[in-house]
Amino acid sequence: MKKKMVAGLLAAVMVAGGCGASTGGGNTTQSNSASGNSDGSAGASVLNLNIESEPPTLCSLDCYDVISMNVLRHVMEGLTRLDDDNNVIPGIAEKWDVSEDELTYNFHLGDVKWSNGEPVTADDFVFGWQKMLDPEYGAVYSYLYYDIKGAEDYNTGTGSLEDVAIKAIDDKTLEVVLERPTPYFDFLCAQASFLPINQKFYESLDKDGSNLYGTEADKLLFNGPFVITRWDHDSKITVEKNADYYGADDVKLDTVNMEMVSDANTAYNMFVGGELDMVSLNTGDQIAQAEKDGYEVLTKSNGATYYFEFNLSDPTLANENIRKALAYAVDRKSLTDNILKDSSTAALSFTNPDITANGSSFQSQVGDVVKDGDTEAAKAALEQGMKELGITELPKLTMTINDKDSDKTQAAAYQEYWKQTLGLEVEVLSMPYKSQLSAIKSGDYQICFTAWGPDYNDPSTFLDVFASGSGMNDTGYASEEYDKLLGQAKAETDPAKRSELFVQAEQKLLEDMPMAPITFYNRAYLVSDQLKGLYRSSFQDIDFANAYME
Amino acid sequence: MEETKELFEIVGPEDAADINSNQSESITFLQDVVRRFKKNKAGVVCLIILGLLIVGSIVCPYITGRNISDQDLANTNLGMFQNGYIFGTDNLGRDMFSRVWYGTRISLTIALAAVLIGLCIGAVYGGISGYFGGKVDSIMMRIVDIIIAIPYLLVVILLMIILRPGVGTLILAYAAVGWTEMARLVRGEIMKLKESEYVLASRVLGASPWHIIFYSLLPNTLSVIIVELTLTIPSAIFTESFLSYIGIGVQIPLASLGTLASEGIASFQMYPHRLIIPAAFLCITMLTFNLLGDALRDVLDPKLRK
Amino acid sequence: MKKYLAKRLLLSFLTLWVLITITFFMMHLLPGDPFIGEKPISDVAKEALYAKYGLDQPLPVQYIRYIGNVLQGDLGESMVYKGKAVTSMIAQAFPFSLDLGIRALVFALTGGVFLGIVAALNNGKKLDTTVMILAALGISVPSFILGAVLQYLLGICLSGWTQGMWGFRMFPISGWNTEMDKIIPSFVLGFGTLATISRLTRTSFLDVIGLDYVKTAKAKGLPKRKIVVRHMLRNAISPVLTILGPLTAALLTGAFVVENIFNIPGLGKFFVSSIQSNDYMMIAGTTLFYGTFIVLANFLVDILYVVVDPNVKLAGGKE
Repeated sequence: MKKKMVAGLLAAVMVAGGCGASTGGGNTTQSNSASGNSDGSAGASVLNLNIESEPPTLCSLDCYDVISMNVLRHVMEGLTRLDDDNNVIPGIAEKWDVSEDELTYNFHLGDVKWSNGEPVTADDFVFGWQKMLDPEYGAVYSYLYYDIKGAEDYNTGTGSLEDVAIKAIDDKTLEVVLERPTPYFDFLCAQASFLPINQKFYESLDKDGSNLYGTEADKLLFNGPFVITRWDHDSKITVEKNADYYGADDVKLDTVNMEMVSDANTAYNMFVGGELDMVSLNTGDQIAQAEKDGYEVLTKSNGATYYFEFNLSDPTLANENIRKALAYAVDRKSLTDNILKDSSTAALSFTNPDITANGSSFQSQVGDVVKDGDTEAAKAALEQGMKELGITELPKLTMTINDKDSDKTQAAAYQEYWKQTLGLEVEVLSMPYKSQLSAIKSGDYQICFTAWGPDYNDPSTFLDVFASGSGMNDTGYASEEYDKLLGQAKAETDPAKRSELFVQAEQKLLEDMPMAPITFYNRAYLVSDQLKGLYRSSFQDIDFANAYME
Repeated sequence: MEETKELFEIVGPEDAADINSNQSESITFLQDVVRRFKKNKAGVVCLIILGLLIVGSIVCPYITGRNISDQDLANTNLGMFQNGYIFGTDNLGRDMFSRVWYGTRISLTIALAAVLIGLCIGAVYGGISGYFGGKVDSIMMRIVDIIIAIPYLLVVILLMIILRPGVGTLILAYAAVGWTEMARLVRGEIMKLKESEYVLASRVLGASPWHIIFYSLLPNTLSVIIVELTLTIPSAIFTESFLSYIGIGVQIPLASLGTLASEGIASFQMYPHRLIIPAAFLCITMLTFNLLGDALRDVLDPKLRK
Repeated sequence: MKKYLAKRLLLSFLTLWVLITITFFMMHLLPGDPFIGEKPISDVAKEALYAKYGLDQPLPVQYIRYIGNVLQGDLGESMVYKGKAVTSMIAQAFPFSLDLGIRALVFALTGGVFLGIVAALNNGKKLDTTVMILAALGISVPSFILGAVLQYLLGICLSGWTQGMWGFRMFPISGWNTEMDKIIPSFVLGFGTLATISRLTRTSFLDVIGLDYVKTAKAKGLPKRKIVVRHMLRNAISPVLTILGPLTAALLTGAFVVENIFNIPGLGKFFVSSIQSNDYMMIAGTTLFYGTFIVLANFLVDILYVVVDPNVKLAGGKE
């Protein structure tokens, strides 16, 4: 799951972005300045984006974050791809057959070449996928494969590789057998975790027990619309059009520069100066600024939900009512309207509204469960909680956040809500992202502020986070009932019943409240007038494969 | 007591002066300093501004009755003098007037505390090194040389990351590296002074080295110390604002001038006052200390300048 | 001279050793595990990683090993950029910082000395006051404020205007490619240093003006320019040299801010990001590199000082 890194970073991460031809650039707002030297002079079409920071890795086996995925999406292609509306369309696989029982998939690969000239074969998929499941490798996203027969057992060390039902029938045919019918399996095949890897090339990069695949531009093979020609770490990644790509005729951009500008103010100035063609707006202030400068601010959901995580092993926060008091005291409406101002909406349940189940938004089936800015309920819950704990005064609580500005602003708002409503002084501890992550992973926190984004269009992409034993569940929450409902839902083949079971699971989660949803995140961004055809969605943060400069 | 004078016989005019010297000379010196300082216009102005800043930072946060963390979400990003907010409000509707003055207080507190701690360590260290001289001195000074050669900002950053960021840590981190210059200066002065006859006299009378260092030597290096102190404060304020800019400074909801200015930068094209006001306070504070330091050096230590 | 040099050299090495020790122990005190990510890492894999980076050894063993490696010029491998030697990362980023730093230093030195002399020669006049006000601004405006404001005024406003008038943007916002890119960042980085130098030069120049030999030169009827250049400059500049070492350090660390604001891919930007990603090896390596650079700069300045200032006596390391 592309964990959207954490709140502040998130904003950071998501930045680059784009706009659907539908949303964006049609109407020409002023911005004579934005039309500057963005190139396109001698016919070469160049796009300048900001990806804000260095991708942690470009090895598809290790890739778990939005930035890396944004890069990989354009240089590597899996069996399938997603179109502008997130529909699954053929990628390397020209077509695929699904058996009657929806368990056996036969993918027929097209004639596609790696950037070193070798053909992409079914064996490349087998190698990449088996590596992903290798318990010794310990890939983070291996659990996305658990719908494949034998995958979970092999990955958790109880089964063997022979029993994993991934097989190359011949060079151009890949057969996969599933454990249970999985409606979103072809969707998963479009994800970075399901990319092929050329075994010979990969193994040539073994060095002293570790592998250097994906660490440099020349330590990768490409098969997508673009190839990486330059990777200046922490500075810039340059990709150029892949002339050998089967769909090269539809690729209009010659060069894309992915800058890593972390300072939001600088990034905005670069956009104004014509040095970037798209920029994200991270704060309400920046949005106001852009509007004042006459730009049309675009907003789009990125499918992520922001929420508090409570550490249940903390004696105070182990109490459900205390957690509820903290959750009810936050006035989400006022937060989104007065502080964020980026069209994010108040989240009164966990799964993002962009996720559909049984044909409609899953969120609308769950309904608004959490009370928002409810002073009475919050106070009552606090009193009840303190009574249960047998204390008259709450020990001082600490919230751990990322040290990005946008996070600090929000944290200051939460502090104030808690102080006003509950009379609680909550200390805020901001630290660099990596330190925060490590504090959370080691359970050294009380309250933290984090975000989760979807990997595929199914409620389980969210609800799996809080399954007991999930590597993403940092709260220590373990509910048999919740796990049972999740298991039942996944095994259920009737869409309506399946959806209903997921709804029950989410309601159970919100009743126990190891986490408190805050907002459904919308990103605000600007796109230059010349940039067309770049679009963003919940499942593909940025897709510029078919974008062009006017 | 009026008669006492009459009880003694005056031996000679020079001796009379000598007898009084112990008590009156310091007063004369102080008076002399004050007199000379009064003539130094820039110095006087700086002292007044500094006084205003200190008094303001103590009093002003309470004037408006709004706490630095009180949010008024109906009144965000107000300009100056709107809706009764003297300096306007920030993006959470917090009163900038209270925040800026409170920020001044935090910045001054950090700088003063850090420098004073540095002073204590540095003065003692320099005093010991200078007084004992020889091997002790040479070892102690080599240690200082080494510490000075290490870029202090790197050490402060490392310390800030290791310890929990906050006001206390800022003070500690700066003090930990900020004492070396003071130690050098004090040691130089002591080297000069320790050969003086009055020190010799104390020694002959059996005063312990500690007594001599603390009661005879250090008080006489006061002027050097004061000048150095005044000139180090801006550097401490600068360090604090720098750390706040890269995000490892004062923690919310507290605010220093550095955090306020870096918050202001994020939106200054839209709301210039949010940068200009804290930046002005920051610059004025630094400037005042710098100029005051210059003035004090002129007055206290005329040898250093023509 | 030889003895002095030897002592200085020894001291420099001692400093470096202390620096290595400090960075080594400090990075082990950094909170957080460098291998913790979203990835729920297995204990086996973690042990392997610890073994690879030698973190499973007792601290003293790690320490000795580290020093041994450093002496061979091996600063280890980045823990975030897999397979990348720290030295190669530094080699990639440092040229940008060096370029920026040298430009800023040259600008600050020439500008500062020039302004200082101008102010001294016009002591008490309007020009003097103007220069001193400028200098006062320089020492009291933090570079992150100056940088952001200049980026807006010159990069956005002025460039927007030139584009409207002549169709080109005068100053780019970011980057480090063309000469125009480099003007604002170098100015911002050098401005504070320029202010310090001009104040210092002015003071020492005023000191020299009153000295006998200058008076003699004047009495001999030498032209003013000759007196300034031949007699006064050499003497007046030595105090500037004494602070050149610390100034270089200030410029290097000041680059953290400037490189961030102007998006220059230098070592400062790198250093901050390695702090944020808990990249022990990068932090230690970069700190050590910075430290070595500054110690070296100090050493050179010391030698230069002896060469330039005829009045300095070699007291074998004593003050």
